[in-house]
Amino acid sequence: MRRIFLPLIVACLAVSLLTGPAFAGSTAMVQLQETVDGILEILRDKKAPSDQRKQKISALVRERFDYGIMAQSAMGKHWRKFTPAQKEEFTAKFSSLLEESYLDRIDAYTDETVDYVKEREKRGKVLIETDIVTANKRIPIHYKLRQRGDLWLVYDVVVEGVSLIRNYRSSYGKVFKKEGFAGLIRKIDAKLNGEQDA
Amino acid sequence: MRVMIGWFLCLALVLGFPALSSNTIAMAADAAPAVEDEFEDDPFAEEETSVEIADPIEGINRGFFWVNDKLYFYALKPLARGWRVVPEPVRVSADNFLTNLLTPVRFTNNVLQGKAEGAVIEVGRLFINTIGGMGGLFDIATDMDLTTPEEDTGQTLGAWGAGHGFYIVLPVFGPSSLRDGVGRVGDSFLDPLTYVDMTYLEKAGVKVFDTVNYLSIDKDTYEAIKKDALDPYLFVRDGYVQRRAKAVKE
Repeated sequence: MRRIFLPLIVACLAVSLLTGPAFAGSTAMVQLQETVDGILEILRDKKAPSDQRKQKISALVRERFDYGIMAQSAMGKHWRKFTPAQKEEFTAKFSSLLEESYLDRIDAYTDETVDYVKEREKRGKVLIETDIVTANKRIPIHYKLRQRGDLWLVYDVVVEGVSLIRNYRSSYGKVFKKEGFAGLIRKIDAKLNGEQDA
Repeated sequence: MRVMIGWFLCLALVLGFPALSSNTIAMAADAAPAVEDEFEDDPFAEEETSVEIADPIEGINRGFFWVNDKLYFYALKPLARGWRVVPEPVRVSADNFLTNLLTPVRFTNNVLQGKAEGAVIEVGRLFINTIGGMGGLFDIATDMDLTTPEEDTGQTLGAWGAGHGFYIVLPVFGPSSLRDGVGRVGDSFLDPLTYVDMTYLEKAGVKVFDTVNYLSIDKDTYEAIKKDALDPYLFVRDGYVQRRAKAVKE
């Protein structure tokens, strides 16, 4: 009898060890996974009409991405030169631009899988490293999250070592310095209207 | 003989680097405090590198950027789109095959950077993929999680302490820098294709095929950048610097 039990116990232990890490993830990891997996699920549901899918994804993204702080970081030191009304207008336009480009691109990645590599905490903020596994390579995508109440919100995305917010900041800053607020908004509008060479 | 002259050229340029790179570092340090202040509550930003690079020939660079942009949309991309009629597994195998052939570039640069483990992994990958993966058509080493970051000569120069010098947009090849441009020359000496008995035109054909095939697998990355960056030139430049800095660090 013991001969049967021992392997059984070992097997149970092995299974619990193997599945352990999946449950041991932090709140930040669990919340990010919820969002990413939710998006993938909607994408794979090809039967639903496309604008309905976009709406659902948009709702998920808005829940998890802190557009306010992203807009602010994208402007960097120029942010405090904005009036409150300008801050609001810029944040709204910037969010639509981010969201639109994100939604346009994500369709291409429907068939890929996402690996959660590891997470790190530093001074209260969390960095989660993921890989998108495509046919011929792995694309590292890191999410930086910070806590707001019960929620962990993304404030920057780093793709292959390139921080989106940092990169935005250098070009937004230059446009603002050269063409002022009106010029900046004009350029974003042109992008939103799909003008390639704007 | 030509090879010798090439290496001397490389050496001369490398030796000339420290002066250039210390300039760049000084510039980046000057610019840093003003740019960083609103982002200081991001604890992970300090691990990332500055996106500053000297760009004294921005006018010329923007010109070539424009040319490359047209080349992409009117030549390479249409070819890549046409090539997509071939089933993806075949195109991925072609990519694997060409990547496997470039093992000497990655192996040598692992050695030059003193990365023994990386060098061993590259040799292991070569054997496994060439023998088990039918001449490199299948990347089974990656399926076995036997991977190591890709090293090239530009990264080796960076690991030895050479800075970028300044930003250069190469016609056809795209974003580069003085350092990475020299690195490209080094890479081409390590590329087995250089020593194959083919005409220059045939060799160029192989490279064009490699690019078109790669773009056929790629998910329109450049289109996305064009779409949401206010100034795609700056986005590509800053992205290039960050991506290369990460590659040198790995």
